[in-house]
Amino acid sequence: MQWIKEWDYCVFGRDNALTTRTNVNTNGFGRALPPKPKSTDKWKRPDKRILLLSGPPGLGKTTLAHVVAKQAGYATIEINASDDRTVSKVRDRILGVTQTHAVGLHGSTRPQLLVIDEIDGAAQAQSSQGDFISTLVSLATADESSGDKAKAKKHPPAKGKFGPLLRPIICICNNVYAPVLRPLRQVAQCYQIHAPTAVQLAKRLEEVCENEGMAADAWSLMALAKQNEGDIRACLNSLQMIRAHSSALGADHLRGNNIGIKDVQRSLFAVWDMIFTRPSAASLQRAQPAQKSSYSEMLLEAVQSAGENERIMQGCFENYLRMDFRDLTHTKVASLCTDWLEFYDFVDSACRKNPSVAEPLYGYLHYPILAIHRTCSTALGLASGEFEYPHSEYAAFQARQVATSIIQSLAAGCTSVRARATCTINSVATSLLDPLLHIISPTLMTANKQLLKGGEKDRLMRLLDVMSSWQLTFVQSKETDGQFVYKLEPPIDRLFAFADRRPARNILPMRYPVRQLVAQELERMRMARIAAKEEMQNGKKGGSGGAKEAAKREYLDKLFADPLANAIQAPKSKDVPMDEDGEPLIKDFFGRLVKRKTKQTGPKEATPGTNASASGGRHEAGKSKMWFHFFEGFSNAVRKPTQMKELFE
Amino acid sequence: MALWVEKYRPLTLDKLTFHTDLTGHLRQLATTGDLPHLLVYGPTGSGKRTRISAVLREIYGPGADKLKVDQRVFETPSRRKIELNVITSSYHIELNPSDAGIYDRVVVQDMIKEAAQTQQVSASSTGRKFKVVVIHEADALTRDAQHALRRTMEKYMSNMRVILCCSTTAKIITPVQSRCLLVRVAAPTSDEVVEVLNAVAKKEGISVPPEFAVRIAEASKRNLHRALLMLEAASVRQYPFDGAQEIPIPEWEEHLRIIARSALHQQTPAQLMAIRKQLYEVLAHCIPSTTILKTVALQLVEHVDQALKPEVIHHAAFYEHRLQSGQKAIVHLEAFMARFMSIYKRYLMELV
Repeated sequence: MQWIKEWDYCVFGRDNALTTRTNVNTNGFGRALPPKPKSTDKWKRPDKRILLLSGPPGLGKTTLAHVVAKQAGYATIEINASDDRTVSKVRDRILGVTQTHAVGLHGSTRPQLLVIDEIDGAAQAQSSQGDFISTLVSLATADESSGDKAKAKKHPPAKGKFGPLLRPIICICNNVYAPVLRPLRQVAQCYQIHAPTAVQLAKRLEEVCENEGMAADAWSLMALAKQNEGDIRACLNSLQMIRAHSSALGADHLRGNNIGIKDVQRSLFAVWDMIFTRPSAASLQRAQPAQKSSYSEMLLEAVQSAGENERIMQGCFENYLRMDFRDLTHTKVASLCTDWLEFYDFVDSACRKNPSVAEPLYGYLHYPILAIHRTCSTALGLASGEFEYPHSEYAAFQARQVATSIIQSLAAGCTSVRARATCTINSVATSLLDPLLHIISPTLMTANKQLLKGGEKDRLMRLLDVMSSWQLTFVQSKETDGQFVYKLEPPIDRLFAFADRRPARNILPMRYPVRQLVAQELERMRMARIAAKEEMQNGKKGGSGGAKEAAKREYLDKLFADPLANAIQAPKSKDVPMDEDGEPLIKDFFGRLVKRKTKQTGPKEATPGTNASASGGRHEAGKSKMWFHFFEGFSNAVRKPTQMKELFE
Repeated sequence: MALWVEKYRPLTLDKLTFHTDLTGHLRQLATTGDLPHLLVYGPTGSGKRTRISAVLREIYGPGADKLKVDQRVFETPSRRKIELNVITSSYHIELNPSDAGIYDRVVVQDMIKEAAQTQQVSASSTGRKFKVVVIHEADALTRDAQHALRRTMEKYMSNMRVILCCSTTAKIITPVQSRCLLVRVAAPTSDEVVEVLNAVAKKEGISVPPEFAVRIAEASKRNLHRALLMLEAASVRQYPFDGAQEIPIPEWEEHLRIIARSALHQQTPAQLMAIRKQLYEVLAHCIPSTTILKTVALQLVEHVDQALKPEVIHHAAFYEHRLQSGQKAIVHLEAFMARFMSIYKRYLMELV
């Protein structure tokens, strides 16, 4: 009401007279709002241009909107789900309603107020003009920009664009958190309408009964109200139905033929709370005067109606251990686990494996929950904040997925077919992975190949052999803190580490330069191998690389020029001597370059069709020139003709 | 090849070192020119695969070693596509249907029919009319897949032989078992493992102190595959060996030991919660749930009092069975841990 009144200035040109009228609300909601700061808008409109009413069905939201509008002197125009809700039509209507000062529908001169009912049903209709909600939002926010313009020009903005919104809009929905409404929520004034208490509702129902000349005692009305969980419409409907065949409302009506029992959907958290809370005897009495059912039946019903059985069960599983067990020998937990959680898993897996026989089994899926309630519930229930939404199962699943993919990539990289045959996920995870990691992490003291002693050299060779046979490499990457690191690829070391233990005992302790060395040596080996293969092929074909390949080659060169320049910015490269003296360093530098290339051409090699062109192309490359940039944009760039052969040495 | 395990894998029946009796039988089978369906079973790392490939080589000659990896796509009745790596030579097909999960029935049927419908082209050269389909990890086959095998094994007998390779026959349905010749490959004794280790070390040119070899053999639990990997890992770690050198244990096993220790240390729901977290992590490392259960149970048995041992083992077996029929491994693992805690706690209280 207050919100509506805030529109007064804008619409009627009169001052906001807030307290003149009291809110005469049919349903007995009294909303006392804190006085809001005065709007600074030039039309003196409220800050939020749209009112969003939300609440469960049957509480009288629509009625409220209409009553309020009438009270405030508006003519209401309603758009609801039964109307056409294509974007363009709605837009026209909204524009028509909100921007005209013209006379209303039936010749009345009252200004109009738009009520958009059931807005959460507004589908995210895909249309070229954007969907319904965004239209509304843009409408509500339009005036910020266009307002000034309008002020300057002193005439209404052109049609098609949204002018400032000059009439109130009330939107009504059931679930304010529906994803469709997200953008709207930010611009709208939201009010949640709560169910009235049973007493309030019963009073109201009593009035209705009096008007209808129906005898009803307060107690059964209360019961009716409770049964419907505050849904006024449902109450009235069932009252009318009872009225149809008797003139008095008695307890037997309510109990007997299940009138007016709604399927109530509870949120998952509410259900979990019910499961873990043991009701006190008194509250049980109070809660269930009409139905004689026990708490567990009620619980069962709640669980059944909530639907997401799987989720509920998962939540129970993940949280039941947090409950306070008074049980010295731990037997409660054990029996619960064994008997009920496992039972659930049985039934569930049986259902999944064989959907055709699942029908009769589904019924049993709810009962383990009752068992959990019996063992775990406490009078306190869940202490707030303690209950966690179940996600660890999913997290574990994801982690497993990642691990599986890593193992698969490892197996795919295995060059020996015979070894590959033994690479199943289980066998790799259990027996191969750990030793392999140990094997590829020898101790190397220096990163300079020339300084390696005899034993170390052997170790390096061995390492290279193993790593190349599994196609493992180190790949340079940049950490978040700007450090360059070489990471193992595929990252099988990730499978090795367990979170709460110290990171892999001296596994892969190799420092950056050592890894760099290894990576380069691996590259070199690979290149040598490819070159040998090439030699063979070329020998067969007699060097049939045509002009086409040469062109392709050139293209590739150009393509890589840029990434190369970036890749070369290793910390060392700054002081790389430009002449031939720094042989190892220059090799380093080119080694990485070469790597990039093989990566690109690698896949092509694999397919026999393009094989010829790729290798032929490489052959051509021996004659082409290359450019390198150190730190792009700096003057110390290098341009130097190089032969591929030099790089292979 | 790079890893010693692969590098020194014997390729022919002659080079197999242990189980000489068995090798002799296999050779006889192979040389007669005909072969029944085989079901080779035994613990991991006892040389099942090696023996199978050696037999194939014996039958078909060196051609059976020319392997290539194919990626096949199978379509399930529900139109889902499964990709599976299949290793083939011109004489045989090796597949691991457990990678296909619950759709392994389709894979088995398709592959076997395909193999069976084409006759051996080079029959004249080798004198063998049949192809061989090797199914690894056959104990992971679902019931459906095994039932699908039953009929095909008989129907296509003329063109094809099946070699099933698994670690236990318990999970193979009896009709399939009865159609096969059962070949048990036992784990090598510690001495035999040591022998192989020494032979490999000699070829690599390193010297292994005898006590160290024995320790590796014991640590590997007579799993040759593992023993060789351990030897190689240890040699990378520290060479020359000294007898007391630490043998690297797989990290996950270490982790499971910690879990067992924490269960012995304290028996509360909070502890169980912590254990659950750790179990999740091990599961996320792709360690099979039965292995987890087994390892933890054995660890526990090692540390509890004599009187409790049978009970713990009994429960381990009980939950292992449940693990098989259920779906969420974590529930059953946790149930086992909870049960153990309960038993242990009660025992401790009686003691006081």
